[in-house]
Amino acid sequence: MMDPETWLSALGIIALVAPAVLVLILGTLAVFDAPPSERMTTRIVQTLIGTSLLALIGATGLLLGMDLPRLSIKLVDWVSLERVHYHFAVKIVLDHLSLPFALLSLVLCVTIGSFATRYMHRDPGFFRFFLLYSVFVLGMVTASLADTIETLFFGWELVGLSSALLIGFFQDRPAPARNGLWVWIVYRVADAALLLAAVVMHHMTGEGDFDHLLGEEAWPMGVTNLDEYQALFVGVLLLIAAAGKSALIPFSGWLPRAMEGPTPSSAVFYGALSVHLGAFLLLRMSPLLNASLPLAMLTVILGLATVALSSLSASVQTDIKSALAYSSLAQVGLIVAEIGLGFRWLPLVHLVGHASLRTLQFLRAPTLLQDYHRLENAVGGRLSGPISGLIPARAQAWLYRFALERGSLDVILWQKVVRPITSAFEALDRLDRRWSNLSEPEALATVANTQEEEDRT
Amino acid sequence: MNFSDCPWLEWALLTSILGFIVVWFVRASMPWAVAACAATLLLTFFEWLCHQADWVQTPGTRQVTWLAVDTFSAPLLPLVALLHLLTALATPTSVGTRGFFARLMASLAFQLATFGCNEPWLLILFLAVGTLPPLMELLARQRDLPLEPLRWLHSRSFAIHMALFIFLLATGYAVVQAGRPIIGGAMLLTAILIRCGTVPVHTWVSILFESGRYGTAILFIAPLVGVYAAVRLVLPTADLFVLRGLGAFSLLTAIASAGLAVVQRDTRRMFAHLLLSYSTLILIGLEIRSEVGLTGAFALWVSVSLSLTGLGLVLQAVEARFGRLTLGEYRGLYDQSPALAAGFLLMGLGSVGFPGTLGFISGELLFDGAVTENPLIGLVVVAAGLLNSITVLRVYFLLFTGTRHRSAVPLGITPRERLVVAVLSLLILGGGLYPQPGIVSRYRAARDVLATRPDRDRPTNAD
Repeated sequence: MMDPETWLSALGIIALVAPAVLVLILGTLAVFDAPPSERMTTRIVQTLIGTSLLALIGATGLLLGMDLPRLSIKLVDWVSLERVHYHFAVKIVLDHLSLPFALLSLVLCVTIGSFATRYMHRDPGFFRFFLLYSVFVLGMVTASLADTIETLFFGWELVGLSSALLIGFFQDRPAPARNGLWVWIVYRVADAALLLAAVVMHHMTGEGDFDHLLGEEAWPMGVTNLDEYQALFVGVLLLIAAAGKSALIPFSGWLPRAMEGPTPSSAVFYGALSVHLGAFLLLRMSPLLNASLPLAMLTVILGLATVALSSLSASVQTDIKSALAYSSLAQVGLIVAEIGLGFRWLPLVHLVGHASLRTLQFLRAPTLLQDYHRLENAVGGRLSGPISGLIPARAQAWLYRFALERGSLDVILWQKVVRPITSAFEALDRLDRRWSNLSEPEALATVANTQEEEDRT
Repeated sequence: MNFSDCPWLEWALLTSILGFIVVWFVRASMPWAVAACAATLLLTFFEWLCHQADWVQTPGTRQVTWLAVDTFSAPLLPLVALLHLLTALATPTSVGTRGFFARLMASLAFQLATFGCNEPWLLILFLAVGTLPPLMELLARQRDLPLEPLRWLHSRSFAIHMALFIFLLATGYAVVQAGRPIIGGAMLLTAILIRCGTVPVHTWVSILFESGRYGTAILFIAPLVGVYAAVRLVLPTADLFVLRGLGAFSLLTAIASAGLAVVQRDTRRMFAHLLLSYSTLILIGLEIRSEVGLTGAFALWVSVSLSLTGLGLVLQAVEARFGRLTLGEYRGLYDQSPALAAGFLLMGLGSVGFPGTLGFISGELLFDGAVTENPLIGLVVVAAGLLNSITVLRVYFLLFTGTRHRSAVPLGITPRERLVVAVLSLLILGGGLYPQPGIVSRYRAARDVLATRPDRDRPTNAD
């Protein structure tokens, strides 16, 4: 007879393994160009994600019933080099942070999956959508339940890749591809920061386990083993990672671009889950914030600045998806500020409530517009913003322009960061090509002409 | 004679030479080349087993005295054979002439001899003759070029680079042996930098890719013969300044090539720079000289060889269907060949060490070693990885999305190409999801290689 703790471990493992099996099945079918029928795809997806959800519900019930604050489960020692003390373990944790977030992810994914089977019906990319969706679900569950920084990184990357490919889902237009690439670049910068943080932590503590880094107490009572400066250094890297993933300033520009994807993916990913992953990371690493006051202050400032910019931007958007995206971002900024102020349960509850509400709003976006029209008809005039009357007319115009240009953050990033780098490499490339194409003047001419044409365009 | 007494490597070498002879004389050369490569792969796999598997007793005495296999080179032998087999399988009929397959078999024989040789001078000889297959191909293709002096010089740039490499390698080694380690070390360093295509002596790589066939160029660069030469000839004897120089040029190349790959407008040049960026990242491991860093570098070697060969072969398959590809516009080829798109993405992500692929853990190990040695090296390694991952997705979006390509003829993946993509996917994902045996094998190799260093008292990560 298995004891309750073994049951709990088994349920936690099932919750993680079920989406992994889903990715394996759909991935294998994709490699062999053998997509199943829509009905079969739906069945496989619903069965395995449903299994994961049920296992997680069971695990939550059991954890609460046993009054356990946390349970760490080691799945496998991925790599272990004893002599050099290098360990890379896949561990998951069931605690008061991971379970609510993983449950939220799975509940919303099941709902959206169900919605998408009808929404994507007869779309040529039906199977591709569900393949990417399954990668996303695996990434979210892995990141939510992770008990080592490397496991979290694994899930984090899967979420990033599936998001970028889903933004570029409609493949016969250039705009989705362009926006997908932009989001991928921002995500990769965030990933690089997280990877740096992971390796630095690994280096400081010898292992990537959260209990070595954040103390053995259950969340949110953990106390980090790092000193103030170490906490600040690692914390800043994590803050950059969170800012990229959650579209905080200065990376906010990717959020409206993400709306190029199909509505179900916009709803679940950028309205509800992806955008909250950065906040989740900060919650998980909250002992670092407790250890460093400057880090906590930086987090509050970042959160509030995001609230200010996205509230302004949301009020001038002319399409419902962008308006919702910026409203969503304002709430995420608020959640981040709450985390910086030292709250732990409040931002978690805020996050769960906001994600659920926003999913509903995204899915009802067209109806919501109709509701607004109905409300305006009933009132007999336009619904105006609450602060518009308090701002002088001159400032209103400036603020309007500022909001409409979304603080020009994308332009600043492009002109001040991306362009100088690409220009330097382009100059180097011209130099390189001049020599390489010396024996092929025709090729050189062709490249030069192409470049001139592109510059003209 | 028990299993470990069999001279598997000698038989593998013999098989590849016989394969070369048969392919040279037979008209339908492709099936013979594939069969010879497959047999060689099997034999080298047995050789590897003798050094790897616990159930095999200590390997027996070699039949040929100059051949030797150790923990470092044992898995590289089947790796080289596999790369040749996959290239032979994936080469389109329009490209695969008898001469091409003969050069492929010759390249296999030379590389097996290189990776299995324990005599420094013979190793230098094999490194020298190993440059012949691509040289033959380039010379055959450049016969009708104009003869103005500068252009003639440039058209022979590959030959000039390789001649310089061989000269510096041989002279440098002789000078080191004569007791002049500084001068000799500098010459050896220059030779290795040339063969690895580090900046600024890298132009031969893009010339090889632009003027030669994908298969020839991949097989000359992807097995990382230059890095092997560095491990065998430079690492055991080199002064610290040589290794520092190697590291500095490698860092420069890793970041410069990654940046150049991002802004490329031509697929072949993009691929050449991507390959250079990763092959030089492995050289950084030699400079780090810690057990963790070197383990990461050796593991990344296998990952990069497999995934970039796969990426190159997918690009070759796409080129065979749609012609030479520029990256100035969207192509929208996904609908025509979704399996090639999936293969491209998987190989590309494998090459950048995406989680779950073979390169993930090795990249982490290399990065960990780099951060320990010098945080700046770690930053460059991360920046290069970041740029390379942007390149992969940029090229994916440009080639496979953005518009709809219409074609009257089916352009889907062929069974042979599907087999290549499936085998590589299996290895990249299998090795990524179960990395322990591979990493332990590379860790042992790193320890053995470090034990040959004169400064072996240098503190390692162990205690």
